[in-house]
Parts: sequence; C-alpha cells; structure tokens
Amino acid sequence: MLKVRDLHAAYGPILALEGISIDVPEGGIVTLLGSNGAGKTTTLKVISGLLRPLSGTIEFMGKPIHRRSAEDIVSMGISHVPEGRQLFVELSVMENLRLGAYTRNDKAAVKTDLERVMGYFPILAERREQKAGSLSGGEQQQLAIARALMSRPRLLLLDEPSLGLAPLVVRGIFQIIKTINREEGVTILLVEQDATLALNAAAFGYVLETGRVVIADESARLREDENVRRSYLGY
Amino acid sequence: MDLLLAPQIWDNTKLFLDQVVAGVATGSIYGLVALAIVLIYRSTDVINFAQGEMALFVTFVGWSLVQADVDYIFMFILVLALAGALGAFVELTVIRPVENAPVLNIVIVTLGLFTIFNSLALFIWGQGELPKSFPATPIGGELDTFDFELFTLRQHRFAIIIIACGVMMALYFLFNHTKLGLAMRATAHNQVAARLMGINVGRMLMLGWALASMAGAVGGMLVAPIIFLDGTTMFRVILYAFAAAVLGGLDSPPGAIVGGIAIGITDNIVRTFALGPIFIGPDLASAAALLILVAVLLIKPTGLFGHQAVRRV
Amino acid sequence: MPNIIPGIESFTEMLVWAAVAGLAIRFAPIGQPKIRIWVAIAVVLLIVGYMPFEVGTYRTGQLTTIGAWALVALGLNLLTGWSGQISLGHGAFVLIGAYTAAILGDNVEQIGMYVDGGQWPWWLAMLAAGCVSGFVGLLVGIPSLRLTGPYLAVATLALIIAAPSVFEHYDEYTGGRNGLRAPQPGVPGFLDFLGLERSEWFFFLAMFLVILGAAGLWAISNSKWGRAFVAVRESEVAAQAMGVSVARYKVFAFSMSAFYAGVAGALYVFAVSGYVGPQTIAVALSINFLTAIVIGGLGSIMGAIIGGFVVVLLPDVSTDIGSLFLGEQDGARLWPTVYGLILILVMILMPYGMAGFINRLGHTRPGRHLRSLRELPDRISTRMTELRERAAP
Repeated sequence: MLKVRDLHAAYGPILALEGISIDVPEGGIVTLLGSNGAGKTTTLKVISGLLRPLSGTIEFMGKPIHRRSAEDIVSMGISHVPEGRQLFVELSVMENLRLGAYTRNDKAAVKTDLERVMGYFPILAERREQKAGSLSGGEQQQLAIARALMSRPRLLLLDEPSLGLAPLVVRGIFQIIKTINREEGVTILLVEQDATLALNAAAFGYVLETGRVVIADESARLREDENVRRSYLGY
Repeated sequence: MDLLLAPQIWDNTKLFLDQVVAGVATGSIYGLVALAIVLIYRSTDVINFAQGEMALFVTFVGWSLVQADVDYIFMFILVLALAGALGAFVELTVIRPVENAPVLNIVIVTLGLFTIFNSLALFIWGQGELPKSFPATPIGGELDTFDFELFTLRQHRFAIIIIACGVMMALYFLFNHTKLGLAMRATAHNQVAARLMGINVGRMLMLGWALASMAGAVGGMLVAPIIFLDGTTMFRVILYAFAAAVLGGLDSPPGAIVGGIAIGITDNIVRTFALGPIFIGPDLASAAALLILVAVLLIKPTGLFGHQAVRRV
Repeated sequence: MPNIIPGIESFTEMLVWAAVAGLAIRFAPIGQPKIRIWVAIAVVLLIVGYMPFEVGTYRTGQLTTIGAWALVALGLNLLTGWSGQISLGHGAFVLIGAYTAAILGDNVEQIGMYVDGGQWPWWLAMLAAGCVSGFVGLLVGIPSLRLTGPYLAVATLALIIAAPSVFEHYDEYTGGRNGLRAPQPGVPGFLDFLGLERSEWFFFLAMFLVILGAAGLWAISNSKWGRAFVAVRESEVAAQAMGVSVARYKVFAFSMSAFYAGVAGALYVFAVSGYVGPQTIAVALSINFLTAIVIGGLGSIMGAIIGGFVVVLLPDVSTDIGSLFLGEQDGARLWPTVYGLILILVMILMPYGMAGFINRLGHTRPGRHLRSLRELPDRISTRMTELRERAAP
C-alpha cells in the first residue's frame, strides 16, 4: 500500500534521512523503532508532505506522492497524528473534529462519522463543547487520533501516541488503536519510543539508526533479536 | 476624571448624548479598519500599516466610478470586489516571499506598501482638485439629521452604524457557521495542524488579506463623505484604528469593534468637553485620548479581549 | 581647497568611493581580518571626512543631518536590535532633546518675539538634552515593561503623536505653534587654526558625536550588559532563569536609547536647523527611524549608521531612480512608490538588512556563489511549483 524507496531528507544543512526504504502492507500495523534523532518522526513528516524529500520516492496505492503537498496527501487518504498532537487548542473539541473532516464534502456521512468516532472515545462526547486545550493529556491524544480518523483515512501515521501519558492511559490508547485497525480496516504506521508496546501492536517493524534502516523484520523475530533486545527492549 | 466631568455632563445631557452617538458612528469606522488589522494580525502576526492606504486607493476608484455615474450600490459592490482582489494580490506577491522572515521585516514591507499606495493614489487622482467629495450612502446624507427626543443624529452616521453592524454579522456568520470560516480560524491558530487537516494554508492567508482589505474599504467609503478624500484622509483613521485594535486586543475581532467604538466616544467627548465646559484646549485633546489608551494598555497589556501570550522558553 | 583626487568631486561619487574602498579593504584577500576592518573604517572615515571640503554647503548640511539621524539609529538599535523592544515613537525623544537644547542654550528666541532663554553653553545644553531625554526614557521605559511587540509599538506611536500637542500647549517655554529659534554655536576657539567654515564645523561635530556614539554602543554590546540584552531578546524567561534582571536591562536600554535620541535632537537643533517647533519631528520621520535600522541591519553598529544614510538619502535615490524610468516630472511625483518598492525589495533580498548582507558577503566563497547562481533557475522553478501548488486547488 505504501512504498518508500531510498528516501533522503534534511532540515536545512542537516541530513536527517539517508536512504530509508519501507513497505506498509494494506490492513497491517507497521512500527518504526529507534532512538531519538534516528529519523522516525522525519520519515512520517516526509510521507505526510510536511517536509519535502531531497530525493527518493513514496508511492501510495500505486501513485507517487512525494511531490504532492500536505493538503493533497490528506485527501488521498493519509492522515498524520503528529508529534505533540498539534491540536487547535483554542477551538472546541467539536470544531477540532469537524476540521478533521475538512477535505470531505459528504455532510451526512461526516455526521454519522462524528457519532461513530465518539463511540470509540466516549470522553470526547462528554467534552464536545470544551476547548481542546483544556483537556487532559490522554484526552488530547484521543482527540488527535479521533480528528485524524475524521478524514476517513486508509493509512494512519501515528507519532508517539504514548508520549507523556500515564501507563494506564497508554494501554487504553493502544487498545483503541488495535480496534480501529481491526474494525475499520485502517492501515497504521506507528512510531513509538516504547518498543515493547509497539512490537505488541505491530506485525512488522523497522529499526532506524541515524537516518537508515538497520533491521527490518516481523515483530516476533525482532523481539528475539539480540541487538533489538539490548538496545530497545532493555532485557 | 469621572468626578470632575459629572456635574458638567449633567448640565449638558443633550450635548453629551449627541456626542456619544456620533462617537459610536465614527468609532464604528475605526472599528472596521481595526477589524481589518486584526484579521491580518491573527493569521500573519503582523500589523499591516498599509491597511488604510489600500482602503484609500480603492475608495478613490469608487470616486471615479461615481463620477462615471455608476449607481452607489453597484459602485459599493465593485469597490469591495476590487479591494478583495487587491488584498489577495498583495498577500500573494509581496507578503508571501517574506512570510518566514522576522516580524519587523514584514512590518517594513507593509510600510513600503503604505507609501506605494499613497503615492499612486495621489499620482492618479491628485492631478485635479483635492480634496474630493464622496457621496454618502443612499440611507441618508451627511448633512441631514434624524432628530430624537434625547439626541440628534446625522443620517450618514446612522448609515455607518447600520453598515458596520452588517459587516460584523456577516463576518460572525462566516467565522462561526461556515466550514470556510472554521478553516480560516484553524489556520490562524496553528498552520502546521491546518495543513495536516488538508487545509490550503496559503489560500486561507490570501483570503484573510482579501477580507481585511474589504473591511478596510468599507471603512474608507464610509469615512470619505465626512472628511473628504485626499492623500491624508486615512492617516487619522488608521492611527485610531491601531489604537482600537490594540485596545480591544489584537487577536479579537469583536474587540476591534468595541475598541473602535470606545475610542470614538472617548475622543468625541474629550474633544467636546475640552473645548467647552472643562477647558484644556484643543491642542491637548488628542493627546488626552491617546493617554487614555496607554493607561488602559498598562492595566491590560494585551488589550481588553486579547489573550495573554504564552511565554515560551 | 585644491582637488587632491581628480575626478572625485560629486557627493554621490564620493560616497560610492567610500563604500567601495571600505568593502574592498574589508574583503581584501590579504592581512588579518581584524586589522582589515579597522583599516576599512579609517579609510571610509577619511573619505567621508574630506567630503565637506568638496561638496558644498547644502550637501555638507545633509551629511550633518545624516550624522544626527545615525545617532538616533544607534540608540534605537540598542533598544530594538539588541534588547528586542520596538519603538515607533523615538521621534518624541528627539523632540524632547531638541526643545531642551533650544530652551537651555544661549540666546533663545521665539520667532517674532524674544523669550528669556537659558544661558548654558551649547555643549552643556546638549548633554542636558541627552539627560532629560534619557530621564523621560526611564519614565516611559518602566511602564513599558508590561507591553510587548505590537502593543509596545502602538503605545510608543501614541507618544510621538501626542508629543507635538503637549509642546504646543506649554507655549510660554516652547513658543507654542511658532516654535523656538535656537542658537547655532560658532567654531570653538581651539579649532580656529583649522579655518573651518560653520557648515564644516557642524559636520565634524556630528561626525565626532557619531563616532563617540558608535564607540559607546560597541562598548555596551561587548560588555556583560550586551550579552544580557541578547539573552533578554532571545528569551526573557530563560534570561530570568539565568539570573539576568530582565526589567533592569530593558529599562536601561530604553533610557540609554532615549539619551542618544536626545543628544541627536540637540545636534539637529544646533547644527542643522537652528530652530525647533512642534512639527520638527513628524510622525513619518519617527517611523522612518525604525525603518532605517531594519534596512540598515538590526543589532549592528554599521547597520545603524547605514540607517542614518537611509533616512536622508533614500528619498533622493528614489527620485533619481524614478526619473530614470519615468521621466523627470513623473519621477518626482512617484518617488514614494519607488521608495516603497526599494523597502520591499531590500526586505525580500536582504532579510538581515544591508549590514547583514555585507557580512554574508564575507562568508561566501566565490565557488559556492557561482554554484548557487547556477542552481538559481532550479530554485526558482521549484519555488514556482510550490506557489502554484498552494495557489491552485
């Protein structure tokens, strides 16, 4: 479904990606592992069009997207839940969700989707008129995911959904991620610091180091891998 | 201040009310231009110094249309359309190349636009006689009055208040009840997130400039019948509009209108009573109005309705 | 005076020579960079210092005005460039300095009638002008601590709008609407041997003060104060956390820059106009001071001095360019349009002002320059696609 080939990207003079190639199969959950600065977030940013690649190609459903703008990419079916959530903190929960459906013109369907998404995240229904900035961290993360779902994506890019949240809250959010994958058929590319969690959720994983893919394998095999265990799983 | 003014005002109730209502009208004009400034500030973080001169330019175009016997309503619509196009054009060609530059650089760019529009207007329309008179709206003339029990109101001032209310309602509807308006607000709050929602941020900024330019143009066309049209018409208006925008809070559109009206009333009353009952002389009157502004700012540093900026480390 | 260097006599030519010589020495591929800078400064000063003997009274007066406004720009740059506070109202401090100097100075005359003036020698009056202005700056600076960015900009704008009417109001001291005629100091005795004309003496006075002001700013910016200013500009919270007293530094910057403006006002009254009235410093001029330091280069001493030239000469340059393209008559009427276009172009092409541009020249190696030129078509086409993508649905 998503084919990334030999991707290079840089922030000004600093090279962040030095030839990343990954594949995400339809309907699956794939995770990117790696330490800080390995290029995980950058990879997501390039896929969603926030950062232009220097070279390399990205194909989504058979179409090249690496030269498209972020706006176009959303309407093609990729939704990005960015690092730090990037909610519209001054706007209400409802307004945030409506903005998630900005690219869609099917009013009636948007309405039913609103109800459906709030079914996954009941707390958002309770807080619908509250400002997004007044929600707790876990609630904000839920809103960010819910907002991304509102565009009816085929592929969801999730950047560190566990960041800064209590373990119990994290567990809940990962439950929902798996449910969404299963019930909605949304493919997920997950970036996560917590390798244990990520490998539990994902079927396949890539390990990134300084802008390159160093290991690519199924989650079960990665868990067994000596290096992965020592560096990322901690046992 | 209040205690000093009170007995004087008591004796001059009619004069006082006249001035209040007139202040609401002129204040609405300041408010409209302030609204334009706020619309741009919210999305670009910049005070557009050229706002008044862009309005001046299109108002001159309106004057030419009136000379060509174009009906007022039709002229009004044409000028609005032109103002919108001008605002979008300026954003696209001049502001976009500097959008990532330091804020002061963009301020200087708008100062450059200020001199460009002012001198172009004078070049094109300054050959003949200046100042030029500009017609009032069909609602009522500048010299005709409505006489009420408690106060008298010039008909054109009445028209100003009506039109300003109309503009505010239209904008309120746009921002709070349409998808486009919601997208514009989202862009103003967080551009990265807006792009991730599929919003074309560039187009929203362009639209913001177009709307601002239109609001300013309404202000220009409404003030022109009162103080006539020449190269300096908008100076005073833009200065008071800055004051109004700042007083209301630069990120608050309703604040701009409230600020404009507050400044209009204050200025009118200070002026009237400074010349009459409590004599401080005409020369100090404008200083007094500004001092009140500064005093309010010192108590509320981000204006009456503005948000306190978050301090980031 | 004999024509020492043949062919260099006109004002523009000499200025261009000064700039070219300065840049050539600054970027010459020999010697140590530090020494080259000082040599470049010395050469530019020599050429500019020689100009009054060549260019006539009017142009010399213009140079003196440039000196006065460069002094304002130096102070304003301390406030805006180093400490990050925007003031659109520095004209008010110039006006305060100008009035103080005119009132305290010898032989004050209100136009039309005599006003009993002070008896202070001009240099003491000038110092007093700076101090009074600096004190008012202190008084303004303390409440300004509460305001940031555009709010401070508009509050200071109110200052310059209100100032003229305040001066007009207290007419027994200020001559009201008519203003005051101020004494113009004669050439001091110890300089008699030079045989200077008055206009030349005024010019050298201005030049001396600008050098002094630049040295002062240099000293401040290289002291622990200067570093504190930058820390405050970059992040107030972080500066506070490091133990910098943000309030004290900001107020100091305000007061110091008002002092510069006050001295400049006195210089303007004594050496340029010989008169001060409520309209001496227009609102537009006050805003131009800010424009000048941004165009010249924020946070740079050279930028501030370039700023002085910008205030006085950019209108002339715009008229010349306008006349070149539009003919004499239209060029003269459309000069503000050209002026505005220049402001916009400079901001697009030189985001850190002229001084920043010159500094970058120093870091650019010719090879890289060529390469970036070769890449230019590519960059333009990428940019165009970007713009098109964003503009088109």
